[in-house]
This record gives sequence, C-alpha cells and structure tokens, in this order.
Amino acid sequence: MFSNWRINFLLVFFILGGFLVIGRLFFWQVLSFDELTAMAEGQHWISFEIPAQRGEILASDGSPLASNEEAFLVFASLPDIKDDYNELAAKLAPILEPENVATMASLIKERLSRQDLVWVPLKHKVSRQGKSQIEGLKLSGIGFEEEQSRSYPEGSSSAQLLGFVGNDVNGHEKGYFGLEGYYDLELKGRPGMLQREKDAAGKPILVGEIKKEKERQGRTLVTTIDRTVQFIINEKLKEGLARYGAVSGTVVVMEPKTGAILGMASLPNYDPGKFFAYDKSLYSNPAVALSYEPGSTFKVLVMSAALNEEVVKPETRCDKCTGPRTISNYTLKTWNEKYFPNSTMIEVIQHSDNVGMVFVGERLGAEKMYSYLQKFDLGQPTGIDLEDEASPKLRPRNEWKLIDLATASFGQGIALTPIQMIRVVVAIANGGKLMKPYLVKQVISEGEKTEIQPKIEREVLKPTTTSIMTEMMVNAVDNGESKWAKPKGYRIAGKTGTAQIPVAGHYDEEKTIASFVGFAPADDPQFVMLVLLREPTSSPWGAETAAPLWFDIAKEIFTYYGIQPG
Amino acid sequence: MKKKICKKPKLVIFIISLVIVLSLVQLTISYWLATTGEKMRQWEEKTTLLEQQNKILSEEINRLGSLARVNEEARSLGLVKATNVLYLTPQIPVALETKKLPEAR
Repeated sequence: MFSNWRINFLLVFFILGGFLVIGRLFFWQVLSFDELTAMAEGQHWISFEIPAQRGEILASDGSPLASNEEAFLVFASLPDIKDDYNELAAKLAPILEPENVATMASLIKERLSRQDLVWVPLKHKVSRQGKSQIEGLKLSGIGFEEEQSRSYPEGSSSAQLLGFVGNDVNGHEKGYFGLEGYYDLELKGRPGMLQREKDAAGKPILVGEIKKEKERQGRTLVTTIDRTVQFIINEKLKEGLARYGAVSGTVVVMEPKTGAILGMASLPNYDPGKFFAYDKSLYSNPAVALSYEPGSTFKVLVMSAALNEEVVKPETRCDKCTGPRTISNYTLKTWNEKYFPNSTMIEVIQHSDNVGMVFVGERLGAEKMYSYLQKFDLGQPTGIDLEDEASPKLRPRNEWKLIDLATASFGQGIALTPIQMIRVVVAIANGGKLMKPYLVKQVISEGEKTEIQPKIEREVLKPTTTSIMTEMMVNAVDNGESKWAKPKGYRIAGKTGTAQIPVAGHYDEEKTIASFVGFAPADDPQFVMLVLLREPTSSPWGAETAAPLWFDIAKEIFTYYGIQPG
Repeated sequence: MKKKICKKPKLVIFIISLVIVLSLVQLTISYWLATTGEKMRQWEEKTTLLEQQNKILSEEINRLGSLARVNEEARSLGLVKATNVLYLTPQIPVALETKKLPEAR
C-alpha cells in the first residue's frame, strides 16, 4: 500500500514533468519558431545591399532628360586618421563645399571628434573631379564609396516637368514632383541583397554558402517630349517674360491626335540638380497645378457647346448686343466697351464680345452649360502622369445663379488649370475627341518594352461642330486684335484671353492673366499650344502679349516640323 | 625468403612513381589554376576599367549633347537663326494633263 503510493506519486510527477517538457518544447519549436529562426539567421548571415540604379527619363528621340552620374560618398575611418582634425578639415572643406567652406569645415571637425563612432560620412554625391582632388592630398583614413547622383543634362528647361530626386525621412532616395514623383516606384527599382555565412567573429566564411537576390534596375521612361520643341518654348518664354514684363509664364504644346505632350515649360523655374537652393514655391508645375480664370479663351468651349446643341448657328445674330447687359444687379460690358449690334456668332468670337457670349450662354441654358463642363471633365484632374496635378472644383449645379451662367460664358467666375484649357482646344482640333494628356509613351524594363497607347476618354463634340468652330477661330486670328503678329501664309485657329485676377473677393483692376490658345495648321493640326503670361506690364491684353509670343513660337515650330505656308 | 625480397622494390618503385606523377599533376593543375586566376583578375580589371570609361563617356555625351550647350556653342561660333525661311514649292500648272487625249488621225 505504502509502496503503491510512492510509485503513483512518481508516476504523476513524471507525467506532469513530461507535459512541462512537451509544453516548453512546443513553445520554443512551434510558437517561437519564426523569432528564433530570424535570430539564428541574424547571427549566422552577413548581408550587403546591392543598390539598384535609378531609371533614366528620355525625350522622344532617346536623349536623356534625367540620367545618372557616378558620384562618391566621402567618409572617414577615425582610427586610421593621422592628421590633425583642424588641418584635415581645412584641406577637405574647400573641395567638398567650395561655396560654404567655413560651415563645411566646422561640420567635418564635429564629425571627426565623435568618440562613439569609428566610421563617419563626410559628404554625399561628391563628383569624380572632387574625388581625384581629395586622392591627390594623400590623406590617411579618408575613403570613398561609390554611389549615384541624378543629373539633368538639359538643366532647368524641364524642371517642373521632371521634378527632382531628394531623400525621404529614412534617408532613401525618392522622387518628388513631376515625372520623378509620379513614376518614383518604377524609376527607383528594387535593391538586391547579398548574404554570406559568417563565423563567430562576424567574418565571412570563404567556403560558406552565398545567397544572392539580384537587384532590379529602375525602369527607363521614354517620354513624348520633343526636346527641340521643349528648348524652343523655354527660350521663347524667357524672351517673352522679359519683353512683356510678366511675373511668370507657362507654355504647353500638345499633339491633338494623341494627347501627347510635346513640350511643357514654365518660368521662373529651378535647377532640379540643386533644388534645395531654390524657393519651394517653384517646385510645383503651374501647367497642371495653377488654378486660374481663363477669360476669353473659354469662349471657344461655350460656343462649341452651343453649336453642338444647335442652339446657335454661325450666322445667328445677337439681338442683345447693342450695349452693356445688366444681370442680377451686375453690369456686364465688353473688354473695350465697343458694341456690335446684330453681330453674328462668327463676329462674337472675332471681337471677343462678352455681351455676345452672354447671349450664347442664355441660349445654351445653365443645364446644358453645366453638362458640357462635366463632359470636358472640368472640376476633376485630367489624369496626366504628373505628380502635382491639381484641379479646382466645379461649383455644384444647384449653386449656379443667373450671373454665374453669364460670367462663365466669357470665362470669368470659373477656374481651371492650363492643362484643362488646352485639352478643350485639343478636342476642337481633333474632331471632338477628349484625349487623356500623357507624357510617358514607353516604359523599358530590363530590355522589355511596354508601349503606352493614347486614350480617347469620350467624344464630346460632333465633327461638324469642330469644323465650324475651327473656321470661327481662324477668322478670329485673321481679323481679330492680334492679326498683326500672325505669320503670313498659315491658317491658324486661335483665341486670345485676358482674365482679371480675383483678389480677396473682387477682381484686381490692374493685374491680368493674358493667354492665347490655338492650333496649326488649321486644316490638319500638328500641334495645339497654350501660352499664358501672368501680370504682363507692357500691356494687360492677351492680344498684345500672349498672342505675339504664341505666333513667335509657332514660327519656329513651323520651321522645325517643316510645315509650309498655304 | 629471396622471393619476398624481390617483390618489395617493385612496389616501392610503383609507389614512388605514383607519388611523383601525382605531384607533377598537382603542380601542373596548381600552375594552371594560378595563371588562369591571374588572367581572370586581369580581365576583370580590364572589364571594370572599360565599364568605368564607358560611364565617363556616356556622361560626357549627355553633357555635350545638351541643346542648351549646342545652342551656346553655335552662338559663340557666330551662327544665327534663320529668320526668313523661304519654301521652294513647285508651281502648279494652270492645266494639268490627267487623261491622254485621243491621237489625231
């Protein structure tokens, strides 16, 4: 009896002990499996990251707009330094930061004095010449590590279009704004990993296993940008700003059949290679981010809508164009206070007659006007492949009053972006198709090429409407206020615009946004172009500033494309 | 007893010969490995150098091919833009022969 009790006690003890052991084993081998495996791998493997090269951004002819250059990280191995820190800083600072020697010298001294480190970085992205100069000094303890720096061979001419490459919060390279920002994931690729077995001292085992995960180089983007067109518009815009005393300006050139952007330039701009030296307000691209009231250029949309709905015809006469119109206590006038009673719709566009456009707006009605604004995608982004695109909201239909319909008919009280405005005119130039504007036409990834096809969003106008509208715009150029500047022998369809700038609830009396939008040759459009000048001082009118600049650029494009007069 | 003595030198000679032959083979292989390794190192060095030169040349092409630089260079050489372009288009005759007339008989 006594012996049985002892045996039973031992039996229970061993069973419980067994369960405890099994439980503990289960904890380590099943529950903690992942954690322990990771710890074991961490002790057993040494890893090196193989950086991926950032993809290039090419112009349509294959020449680089953004590329990579070899650069170096200069570092100091503190135990190997034999020179005096002050002396070392005095030698290195003028090479590493020639524009700010004193600050660089103190930074070097501060980093060299760190007691808790053995390796300190001194400067990233040092050029090859800089490296050679430092090597010439024969300093012990100073080393180099290869890295890449982004280069922009065409300088600042496409700054806002391309964006730039900076560092994110973790110090990794990241594209910001423009194409660099929009296509950052595609451009940066994926770094590879090299893992080698290491011994207890942490040194690689020569005959040990090696695991290699290949890096994936960044994808190369082939854009629709014609770099000659880009160069022309940038140079001409520079001249235009100086000639007309404008604060800023934007030029966009599009291919009407595809919606491809051929050129896009804005001034003032910045050097994307030294973006940090410029004001942040210059980073975003006004061509896609600037919200402005278009003024008279918007008349082509309203007139097209009215023609498309057959509420007016080119020969329809305005019976309310004898003088200023008063709507909801507001008096609406023409830009030069000249009035043309019984003028036809052709003449309304030719004279850029605000009162005539109010007549057109009334014939169209608020419902149809609003539906056309929606058809043209106003109030929402165009979907262009640029990071900084913004879109002013379209006021809800139920908030529209009589005066809103009247002012919107001549392009005031409604805001859009330059890319939205040019897209409207592209639809008139190509027979009524609303195109999605795009910049990248091909993506190259490790030899594989992916083509990006043009996209028609929808048909917004009938071809007969666009033919009539084109003729009205040709007439406006041939007989309008800017006819003196038009290149001889070419049929150009266009429209000037002078919009007042809203400031704190009212319109500024002095400041305007002058613009001209058009396409050529009118019978077989090769390009659509928008020129926009902010606050020109030589004259506030689009016909005297933006229009001559448009014609000036067009002349060069005609020569470049070999477009002959006639 | 005599027979046993006679057999041993043959085995010894065979073993010594085998050792000599294997040593020579090892020496040859080691030599071959060493020289091939050195050649590979030289080729790798050459490849790295060529890759680096290629990179430098590409960067130089990018720099020199920039339109801004070409424009500046052209200006410094005294070249000017064509401001008055004349297109030479053949004049269309007043009457075009589109169909051959029947021959007079």
